[in-house]
Amino acid sequence: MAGTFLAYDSERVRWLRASMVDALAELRAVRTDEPLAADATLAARSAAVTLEAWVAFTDRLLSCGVFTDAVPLPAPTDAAAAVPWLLAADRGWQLAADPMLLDRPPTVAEVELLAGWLGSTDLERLSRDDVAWLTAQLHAIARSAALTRTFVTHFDGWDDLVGALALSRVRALDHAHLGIVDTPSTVTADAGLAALAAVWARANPGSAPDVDGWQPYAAAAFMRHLPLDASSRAVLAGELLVRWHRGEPSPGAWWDKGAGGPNTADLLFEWLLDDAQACAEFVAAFATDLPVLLYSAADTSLLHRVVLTGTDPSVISIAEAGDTVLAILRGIHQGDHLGVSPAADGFDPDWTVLLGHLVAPWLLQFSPLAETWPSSVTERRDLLAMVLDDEDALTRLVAAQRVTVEGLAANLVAGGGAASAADLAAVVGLLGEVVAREQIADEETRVGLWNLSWQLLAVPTMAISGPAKPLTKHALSAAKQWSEQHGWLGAPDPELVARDTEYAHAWLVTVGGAAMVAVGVEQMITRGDLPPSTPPPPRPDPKDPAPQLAYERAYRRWRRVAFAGRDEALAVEIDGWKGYFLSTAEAGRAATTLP
Amino acid sequence: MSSGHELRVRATALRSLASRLGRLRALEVVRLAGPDTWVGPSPEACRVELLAVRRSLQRAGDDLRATAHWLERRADESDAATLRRS
Repeated sequence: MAGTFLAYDSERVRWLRASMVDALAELRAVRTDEPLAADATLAARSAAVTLEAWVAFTDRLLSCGVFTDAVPLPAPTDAAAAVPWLLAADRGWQLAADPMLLDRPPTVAEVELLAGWLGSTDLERLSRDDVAWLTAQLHAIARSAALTRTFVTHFDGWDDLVGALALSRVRALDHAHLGIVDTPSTVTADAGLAALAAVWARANPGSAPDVDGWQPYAAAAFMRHLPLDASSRAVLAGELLVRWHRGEPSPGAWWDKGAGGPNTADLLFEWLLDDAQACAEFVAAFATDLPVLLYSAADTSLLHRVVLTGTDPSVISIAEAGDTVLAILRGIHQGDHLGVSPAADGFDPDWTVLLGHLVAPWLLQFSPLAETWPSSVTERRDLLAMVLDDEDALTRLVAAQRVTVEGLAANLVAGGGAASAADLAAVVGLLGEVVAREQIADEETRVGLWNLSWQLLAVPTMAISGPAKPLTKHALSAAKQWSEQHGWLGAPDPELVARDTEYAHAWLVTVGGAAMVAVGVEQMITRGDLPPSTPPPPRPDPKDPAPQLAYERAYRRWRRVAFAGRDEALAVEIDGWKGYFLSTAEAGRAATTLP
Repeated sequence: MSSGHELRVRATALRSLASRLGRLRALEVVRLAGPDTWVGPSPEACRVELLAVRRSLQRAGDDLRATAHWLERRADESDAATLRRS
């Protein structure tokens, strides 16, 4: 193909052909019985054979539609384009547009020829121009059902062609990591694979080829262009990844092992990321097979995105997360599947970030009050403690406040809005206990956790609508500010917290309730409903093992004094402020769970 | 042994054939296969082969004439021998 060209004047070629036909007639008439003229007659016959061949060639040439249908281009008006046209015209030539570049679908006969040629040529020797041309032809074929049928009927070298394109991709990227960037080759190979996949998808909608005998990299590079549903993607990616991960017939047999650039897992993960549900099904399938899930990708950011997308509350239910997220954390906690900690072997520097983001949207399920996951309070506490095992992880979790809060909000919606402020406070208490156990020394992180706690406490306001919403949010903000100004930022008793998660929960709930009461009283004084001389509301006692119960008793005593002789509606209102966090029933529940 | 007359008849036939070869259109067709008509690897191959055809036919004609000349010398020798015998 490359280096071959032909230009001709069709009229002159016809003259040539006619002359050769006449000459042939004369040569065929050269006969003699004279034995001494044998060489001459042999020369005549040989000349005839030569001319016959060229007559046949001119016949093919003159009957070829590519040339005979060419329409001479008129003189261009653009000066730059006119120059070659004038030069050609000066020599008596005409210029025509290249018919192979015209937007014309190939004919059925051309598709048959193409399929046959692909089956017989050395595909690894295809040039980039060849692949670019082939890509255009394949797209044209994919646009026609008839041409697609013709192609798949006559072409059976899918694995060879896919393999040749994928291998050129591997080589281009392998060179790239050495500093020899061959982006055009990668782009061209991808375009070819996409075009071939388009033909396959047109002929076999919703299905993938049997790739058992294919190189995993080639199969991945091809399949990622197939528009398959989520379940098919998850299943195919899983099967391929297991074979790639465990089934290499001999060291170095897989093209991408040891080569630079994205590997099979990277390609598959990118494919999965096009469909969040596919990520969810894939992660669920491999939550109990962590080596395949965690040790495959060369680009660990892709692994992170797949795991986090597949466990996002907008994609999976609370119950599904109870299977998937718990299974992942259990596998890591037990360490049986991993042998060593992924963080310890250093292959993924952002390992703790992944785990922090993994649990962030599901913090509510780690609450001691939550009963939606098939796991004990103790196990959930231990798993969360493992995730927040180092300060870096906690810092990441605090930094991911938006993820955490949005995840919890989605969680609440998914749970029918049944969670209360107390549920969130329980989560905050759990975090407080974990933090206390880990002896967080960094002040910035500690303050960040405090801020996060208040954001979590504000999550239920997302479910409130109407005029009460801004009022409640304002009250929460004021309560937080009031707590900080009055020195309640200090952590509860570390010894008590470390002994009992319930205490940490109780402390946060009590602080929240007390802060709300204090804000409510200030507002009543400002409005003139209470005199400035009103006794201040009680403060929680961090040394009391049952802070909720103690506060409730102190609150009742204070309420009787502060609201004596006042309108009963004011007492009811202040109960409402307190009840946002600390209901009487909650206080009673706390009393029954004292250590 | 052929007579001188027979040899001259054969020589005449060979000269006639050589003359015929020299007038064949196959000798001239190559003039139409140049770059005025077409260009490219295949046209070039065609031109080369047609040139070879012309050379082959010209050589065949030359050989025929040489053979005819040889026959004529044999005929002269045959006639001279006949005279000597008579």
